[in-house]
Formats: sequence, C-alpha cells, structure tokens
Amino acid sequence: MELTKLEMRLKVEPKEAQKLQYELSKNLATYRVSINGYTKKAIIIFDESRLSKKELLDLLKNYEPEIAGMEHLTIEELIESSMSWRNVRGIEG
Amino acid sequence: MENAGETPSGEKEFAQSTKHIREIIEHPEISEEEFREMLKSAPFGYTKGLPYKTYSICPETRSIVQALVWEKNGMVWITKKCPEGMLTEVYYEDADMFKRFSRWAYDWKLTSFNVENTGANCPLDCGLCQRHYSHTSLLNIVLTNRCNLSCWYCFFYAKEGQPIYEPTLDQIRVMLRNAKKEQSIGANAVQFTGGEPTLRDDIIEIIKIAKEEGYDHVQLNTDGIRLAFEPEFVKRIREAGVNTLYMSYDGMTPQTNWKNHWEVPLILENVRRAGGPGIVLVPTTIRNVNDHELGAMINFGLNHLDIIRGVNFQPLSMVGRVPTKERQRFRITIPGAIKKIEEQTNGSIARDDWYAIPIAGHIARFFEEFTGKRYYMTSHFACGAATYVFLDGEEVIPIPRFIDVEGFVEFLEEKAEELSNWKRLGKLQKLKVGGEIFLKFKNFYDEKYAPKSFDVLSIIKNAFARGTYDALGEFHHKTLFLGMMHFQDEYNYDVQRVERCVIHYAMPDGRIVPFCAFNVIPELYRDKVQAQFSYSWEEWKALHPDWDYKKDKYIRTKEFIERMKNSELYKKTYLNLKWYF
Repeated sequence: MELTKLEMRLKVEPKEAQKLQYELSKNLATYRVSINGYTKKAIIIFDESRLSKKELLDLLKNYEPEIAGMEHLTIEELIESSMSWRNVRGIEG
Repeated sequence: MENAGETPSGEKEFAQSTKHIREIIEHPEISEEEFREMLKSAPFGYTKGLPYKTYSICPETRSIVQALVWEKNGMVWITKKCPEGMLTEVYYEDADMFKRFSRWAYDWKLTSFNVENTGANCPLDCGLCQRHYSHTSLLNIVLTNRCNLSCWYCFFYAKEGQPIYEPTLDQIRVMLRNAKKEQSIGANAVQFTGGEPTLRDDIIEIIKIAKEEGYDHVQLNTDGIRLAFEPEFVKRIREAGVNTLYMSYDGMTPQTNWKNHWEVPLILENVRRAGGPGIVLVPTTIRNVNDHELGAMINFGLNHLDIIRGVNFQPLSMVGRVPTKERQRFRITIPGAIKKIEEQTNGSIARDDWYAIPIAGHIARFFEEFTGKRYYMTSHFACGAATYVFLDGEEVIPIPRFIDVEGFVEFLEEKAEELSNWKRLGKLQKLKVGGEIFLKFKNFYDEKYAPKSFDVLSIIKNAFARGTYDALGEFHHKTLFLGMMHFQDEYNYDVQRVERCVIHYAMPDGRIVPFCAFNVIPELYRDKVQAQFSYSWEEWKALHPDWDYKKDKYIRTKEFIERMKNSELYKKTYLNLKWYF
C-alpha cells in the first residue's frame, strides 16, 4: 500500500487543532496525524485510495493549508520509520 | 438460573446481581462558579497536593478540557466542564491514601518515541511521544478479536460476519521488537490478549517468538476455557515459555463468575499437573455486583497457593456512555476495594498494608543493579496498588506487618548513587555494600511479627549475598501477590495518568499506545487500527476454509454443569476450603 505524507502550515488555533486532530485521526484513510496549533505545523500520512489529496485539502480549507512538503512512502516504510530505535531523541531520563 | 446450552454472555447474571443495590456513591455538589474559582487558584499537576489542575476528556465530544482534582468528604473527585455540561466523578475514595501514595510519584522520562509529533493534542495523537514519561513495562499485543465467549458489554469481539483482526507472525515479531528496543529501558514483559488469544492455532509459535525477542515474562490474558479441556495444551504453553496465566476470575459463584466458574476446577487441575504456568486471578471489580466477594477471592487464592501466584483486582472502567446513576452504583476505586478487603478479611489485610505501584519500581531499581536487568515501574501513583501476603501456617501476614517497606525504600533511595556503581564494584566491595545494606535492612525488619514457618531474614540475606532475583524464589512460593490496577474511562480520565502509563499496546501500524488511550478512545486506536489491518469476513473465510465461527464459541452444556457439580474436583476447588480470615 502506498501512502502520502503531507507536511503543511495551517492557520489553526490550538483548540481547533485538537478538533481537527480528532476528526482526521478517526478517518480510516489516515495513518498518522499531527496538527500542532502552537507551531501551526501539520503532518498527515494517508492512503489516497481512500481519501484523495483534494478531499483532504478540502477538509482543511478553513485553515488555509500551505503545503511545505510531500512524499510517498509504503506502509512498510512508515512502520519501519516508527520503530523505537529510529526515534531516540536523547532526553535525559 | 444457569444459562446452560449457550455461549456465556453474562447478561442475565448481571441483571440478577444488580436487582438489589446495596450502596451508591453520592457525588458532591459543585457549582460552575465554584469550579471556576478553584480552577483559577489550583496549581497544575499533583506535586503540590490537592486541589490541582489536570486535563481530561469529554465523553460526548472528545474535547480535551481542564479538570480539577479536589478533595471533599475525605474523598478525591475529578470535575470538568464539558460542552455537554458539568461532570463530576469519584477519582479516589480515600484522600489520605491518595496523599500517602502521591509521595511515591516517579520522575523518569522515556527517551525513544515512535510518532513524529509533540503530544500537543494528548491523548488524541498517540503513540509514544516526547510528552510521554514512561517506558513500556508491560506490552500488550492483541492476537485476535475472535472470542469463545460473548460478553454482553463487550464491543470488541468479532460478531458473525464482522472483520477478523489477527496480526501475522511477522507483524507480531515487529511489535515485540519495537517495544523491546525502547530507550533507555526496553520492555521485558509481554501480555498476549484478545479476544481470546488461545483461539489462535499458532499461539505456541507466538510464545516462542516472544522468548526469541528477549522477553523474560510472557503472560496470557485468558478466560482459561481452552485450558480446562486440553491438558496437553497447558503443558505446551508452559514449555513454550508462558510464565503467567492472567485469568479472568470475577467471583466465587456461577452468578458473579459466569465466565468460567464451572471450568476453573479443571483449569487449576490441569495447571497443577503441568507444573505451571502460575495463575494470577483477575477479578473485574464492580460495586454492588461482586465487591462483597473480594476477601473470598483472596482466600480462594490462598487455598490454591501452589499454583495461584496472585490476585490482581481491576476496578471497573466503564464502557461507552454511562448515566450518572449507573456510575454511582457500579463505580469502585482502588481505596474502595481495599476498604472492602479490610472488612471482608477481618482486618487481616488492612488499608495500610497496601502500597502505590511506583514503590515496587523503587524496590525493583535496587535489584536491577544486581541483575543488570531493568524492570522500572514508573506509573502514576494513582494507577495501582499492591502488596504481598505470607501464608504462615494458618496465619496470613501482609509484608508491611514485619518489614517497614517505605522506610527501607527511603534508605535504598539514599543509597542510590552507591548502587548505581554496583556493576563497577569489585567482588569484595560488592560484599561490603551488600552486607551493609543487609545489616541496615534488619532495622526495618521486625522478627516478632515475621512468619515463623520459614526464615525470611535468611532468604533476604541470601538475595543480598547472591545478588539475584532467583534467590528470592522461595518468597514466591509462600506468598500471594495482591494488586489493584484501575484503568481509566471517559469519566475519571486524567491525562497526567496517561502520560505516565507503563502498560502499552503495540499496534501493527508501528505505534505503541498507552492502555487508557487505546481502550478509552477506541475510534482512534483500538477499533480504527484493527479495522485498517483486519481481514474482511470473506477474506478470512477464503484463507481458512475449514474455519467455522460457531466452533470458536464455547457452549456450556447442562450435562457439563451437572457433572462438575457432583465432582470431587469441584468440592476440592470450591467447597473444602479453609477460611483464613
């Protein structure tokens, strides 16, 4: 399965970001959703066979999305990128 | 009233149990104005005591809102203002215990994450992220949503025609490895759960994979039905590496324990014959339903101490939308259950005999220095409680009656720096430090109240001298572990508890998610990801042409019940019990 990763800037306030986070996360087409109302950045990884890019951008239109980056990845690549050994940030325990 | 001839669902039994409500929890009045005033002045987080602010979730809208954790009438409450209205729920039924337990809050922080976010919308954007504090102490992996029972309240198991979720062996291996390699502490314990995990034909292979991936503790969360009827299967799971059967056990009668009351004698016997695995009884604890049998369930464990290692009570977490009246009837919290145990054991296991779960982490930290393995339990102090009781002849002695556990742990904390150098110490230095700790330990030990039938002090001395967990082995055969684990629901939800959660679920999409996010917001986690990774009914049938949904389901026959009723095994299991309290 091929997925699309969109990185965006959104004009969204924290409370709205929360709602958006919830609504988009519920959607079976999404595999990762991160909407940050403080930094105004969003990352959404989704399956275009279930939700087209256009449909997604329509859902976000009130927040004036600006696409900052887009890439395609397989579900296997997504899973692999989420493995704990790839995401060590070094915060002190 | 037994429902013979059908798959147990518990619906009639629950209706019967709740005909007579013995007690309810009255919620205190708090106006919106009072709430806002208190919220204004309360600090954020529990470190400064009650009242304090936290975040919670709203049952209807799933909004994340500020909530107030506060004290009234000796109890702790959580109040929030949701778009759907003001909502107050009991958080902890004993404010003093809450304060005592809060002393053992932990400050560990996880350093490996598996989602690219900051947790700004916690808990709506899990897996583990920078906002999470604890590593995975116990990893849960759902092996299947097929189940042999049909519990009336369960939305999770696959009904006929619905998609089947069953991760492949490769997916399971990846999930195991992901948690095992968390930094700075990897998971050491895994629980396979379901549905009913024993329905999988490849369960033995799965257990072996967990061992291959380096898990030293493997437990099966099971209703035990298959174990009752397949003694060879019990042997095989033990040999494959299952350490613990985490077995549903909700009461002493067919009404309170409709899931496996009639099968338990066979399960116990088969485990005995197979020489394990040890059993931990898991009573889901519900006010007005089975809260009058808590002492009896502990007594049951003590009567079968050769194979029962513990009783881990799980106060009910509500499923879905529940009206206030019902919450008042059925809600019980950790201190509420502990109080009932004190009453029902005639004070043999009292309120002060229990500890907050993180204290076990402090003790474990000490032994970790010996063994080089890390078993930190850095959960939130309100998530659980535990103790050990010793069976000394006919007397039941909780560990705090003869060991000042809190005092000893404080001493160990003082020694933390020395202990952290343990691995670098030479043999003589190790003996010196071990000896010093042992000598000091005696100050926390009261021989007068200690068990007489075995020498606790020499076991402890041996442990210090040999520096291994194994040296504590004899403890485990003379003691019963008692635990409480209160998972949250939408009404008592405290995001700070979620941030500290140590019991996680691995998902096949690569994320690791805290228990109370996974199960309380299923539309984002449990149900969603399983829908994404399920087989449709037709796909499943095509892959498993010989499979029949009905064959998965357990039918308890009238003949079986009659046979059990009249058996010696039944009498031995339930009727010829010694009452220890």
